[in-house]
Amino acid sequence: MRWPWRGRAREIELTEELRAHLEMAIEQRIQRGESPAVARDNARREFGNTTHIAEVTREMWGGASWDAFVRDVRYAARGLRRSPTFTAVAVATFALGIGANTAMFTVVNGALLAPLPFPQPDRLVVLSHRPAAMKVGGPALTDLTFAQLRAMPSRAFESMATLHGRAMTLTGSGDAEQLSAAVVTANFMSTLGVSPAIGRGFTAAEEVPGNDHVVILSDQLWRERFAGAPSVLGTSITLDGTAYVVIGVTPPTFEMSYKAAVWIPLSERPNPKIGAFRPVIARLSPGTSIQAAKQELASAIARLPSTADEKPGTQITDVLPMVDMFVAKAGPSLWMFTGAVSFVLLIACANVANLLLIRASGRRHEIGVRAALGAGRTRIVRQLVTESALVACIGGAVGIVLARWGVRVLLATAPPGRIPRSEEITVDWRVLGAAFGVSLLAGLVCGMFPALASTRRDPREALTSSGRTIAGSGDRLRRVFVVAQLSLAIVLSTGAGLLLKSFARLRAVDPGFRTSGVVMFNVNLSQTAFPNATDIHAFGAQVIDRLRQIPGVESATMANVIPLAAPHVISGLRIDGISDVPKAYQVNKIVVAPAHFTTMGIRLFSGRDFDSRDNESSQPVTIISRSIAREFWPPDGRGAIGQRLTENSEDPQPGDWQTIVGIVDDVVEQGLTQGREHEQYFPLAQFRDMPFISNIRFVLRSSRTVQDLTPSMRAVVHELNPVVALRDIQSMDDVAAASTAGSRFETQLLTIFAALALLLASVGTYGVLAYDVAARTHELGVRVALGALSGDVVRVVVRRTLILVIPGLLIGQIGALGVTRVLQKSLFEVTPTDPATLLAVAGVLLLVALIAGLAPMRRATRIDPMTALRSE
Amino acid sequence: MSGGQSRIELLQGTLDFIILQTLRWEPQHGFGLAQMIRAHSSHVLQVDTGSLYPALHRLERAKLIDAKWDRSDKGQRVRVYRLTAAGRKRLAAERTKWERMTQAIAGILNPPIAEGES
Repeated sequence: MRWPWRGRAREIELTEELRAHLEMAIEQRIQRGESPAVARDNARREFGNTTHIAEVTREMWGGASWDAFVRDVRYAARGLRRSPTFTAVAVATFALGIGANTAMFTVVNGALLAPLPFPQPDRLVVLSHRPAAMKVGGPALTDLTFAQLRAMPSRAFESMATLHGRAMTLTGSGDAEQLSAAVVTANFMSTLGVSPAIGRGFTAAEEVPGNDHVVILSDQLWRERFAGAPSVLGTSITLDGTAYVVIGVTPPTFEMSYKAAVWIPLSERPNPKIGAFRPVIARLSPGTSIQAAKQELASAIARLPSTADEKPGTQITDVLPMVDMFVAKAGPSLWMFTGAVSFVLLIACANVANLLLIRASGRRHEIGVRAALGAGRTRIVRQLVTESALVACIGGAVGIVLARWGVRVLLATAPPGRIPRSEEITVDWRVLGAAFGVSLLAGLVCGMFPALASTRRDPREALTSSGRTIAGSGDRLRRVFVVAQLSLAIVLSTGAGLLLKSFARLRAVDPGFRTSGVVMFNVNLSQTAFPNATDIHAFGAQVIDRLRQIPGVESATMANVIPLAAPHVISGLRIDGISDVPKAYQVNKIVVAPAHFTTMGIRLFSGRDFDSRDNESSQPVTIISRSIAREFWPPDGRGAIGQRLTENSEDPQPGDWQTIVGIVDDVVEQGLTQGREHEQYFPLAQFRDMPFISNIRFVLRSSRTVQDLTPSMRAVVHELNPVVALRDIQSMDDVAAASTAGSRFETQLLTIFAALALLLASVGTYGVLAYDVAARTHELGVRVALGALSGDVVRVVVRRTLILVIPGLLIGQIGALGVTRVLQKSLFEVTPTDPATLLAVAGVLLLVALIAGLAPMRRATRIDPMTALRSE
Repeated sequence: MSGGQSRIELLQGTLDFIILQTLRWEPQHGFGLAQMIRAHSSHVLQVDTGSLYPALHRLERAKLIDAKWDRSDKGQRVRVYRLTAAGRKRLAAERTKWERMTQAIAGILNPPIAEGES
């Protein structure tokens, strides 16, 4: 492309060249004896029209001069203004396609592609050394391995740090509040390259027990609880009943990456017996490759005494870019949606290409005239492509506006944590560049085919033939485009259909309890406030008693674990009189108060519920779920009542045995997709193992709403103990919805894409059929004149529709069979090749296509043979 | 001016050949070229400026000639065109073609056995 300023200089040069010519001609005439005035007139006349000469000369500069480009754009704009319907449909089609893609790319760009918001993010890595058999959790090291590694000299790693989260209760100013705390090594923030906005970071000395009562506040907590006052530095706040000195506040942007409200130093020494796995981050020394770092880590770990008894091949040692940790789970599904949405763009392109083809055949006369007047084929093709590129760019601009809105909706509807780094997601220059590039490319590609097809013919043919169209290559191309559109739409619809069916199956799962009318909240009972198990028992009983007195509350209870929410406590069983309980037989252990089963709506099959008779001094009792009873006391499990069980310990003491007093229904614990599990329940009043009951949920059955009950529930707890904070106040319906939110989100998104695809494909089908009928008015008119009934005409149109739909259907279904495998992980009780779904989608598409053909069909049946034949 | 009928409009393609041929001797500006072509063809070939300049710029773009700014004898700033190596090559090829063409045409106009004259 020639640049505008360069063109400007040439322009001036050309004028000067022509003026010099004219002056020399005048000069020559004067020398021959003509008077200056006559000489000037004659020379001018002989020379001709300067402007015209300049213009034709300029054309020789040829190719893509800026002026030619501007002229093409102007011409294209005029052409578009002259056919507003075409322009509107094409722009809207592009806007939908590009908008959907831009929205999706904005999310992918922000979540997956953009570098982490830390200095030199490519030097940040995550370390891992863990058993290959360990399925849960991300990359991690045990705290012991980490402590030993950190103490060793290293060439590859500049620094290593770790963090883990825990809940802490903030008391003092205002209501007690449960916060998420991050427990970190002193160098955690400096490893990331972040320093506090005010105050200082931790020092190594603060990792020592006794010096560790210092805290860094998050920017949000600082603003909300401490009014953003810098004077907070040096003051004390109370966390879990202990005073911590505030030494700093994080920068506001830090919360994009880490949500913790308070940061405290890690002072706990690793316990060699337990070995807790912790995520470990490190900053590589400058110039160190990940590969070299991995080698150093592997050899360092091999030298550690703690790893001596590990069998070779059972562990996986790895160094991963840190960005992977942020995006790990979201990556595949975001890429899947990117793929899906690109189908929508392809369909949009095929649609516009079709519109252009139809438009071009309407303009054959115009194109023919231009060719006859000497415009080369390249010139005309360029002209036509400019037009489609212009349409695409306008569509792209509208699409970007749609995308900004779409991204907001997308992020708002996505369940929390589903899209990583969502605060960082914005429409930035990269997104704009990509959107513009895609628009231009789309415009060029879908302009090119029609332009080439419509300029292939001899201009004479265009000029001499009547307005009637003859089926030609453009016609074939149109069909190919529609078939392609329909195939793509089928693939997307099949995906969406599978997810819809899977989601319906998921919703139909009976979890074994009733989700409606159940409200709950969580409390964390710190050891400072509740030193003994009996304190928890007493507090629990008192809270339940008062909750029950709230008007509109039918029953109240508590549980340390509720279905569909983490955590789950699982262990083995030992049954009195049955020696061969397999070790692998694991059951959920749940601590509950009386009335748990009525409150949760879990069926009691036989026996009784826990009640006030079950206390610390009475005989230990337990309730088991039906599947356990049936497994060990077949056939119906009733024989279980009165039998005894205990934990799977080698040497049970007499006091460890619990007598079975009731049998209840199995419930879903980990998620609706996981099915019902086995449960064993313990009464709170007899349960003494502190760590399992320090975090409990109170559960109410009531017809009142969460918002309605919240003030009363708060009041009950605060009257009894003002330092206990209520957290996660929610209904069981919310918990259940949250557990299927991921599937719901995926289903909604793909359904929207599929609907867009179907809409665009049906518009495309309509366009071609309508054009077909219009072009065949003459033929259909002849048929009617020769006695064809309207039924025959309908048959013609239906046949034309089927010619498009059936190949599209077949190709699409073959494509779908290949592609829907990527959904495997998201599907519940539905196979990716579910025949019913394939059939249903085929039906929907056929219906859509026939509806698209309806209007053209009506027009065809109304053809008046006289008018049709006269309109030559 | 004089003798309109005796002038011949140039066919497309012919002009390019004539320009290349005329530039063979020395570099020349547009006006000079027009003068030379008229003189060399004994005032038969009329070069229209509306054809000359597009042809010059077209040949320049095809790199058969190149141009630079210079001063004329009278000190006027003029754009002077010169044959390039590629232009010379093209000219040689075109010349052969034209010579064969003129021979052929001459042959048709003056057949070896002229009727009614022998």
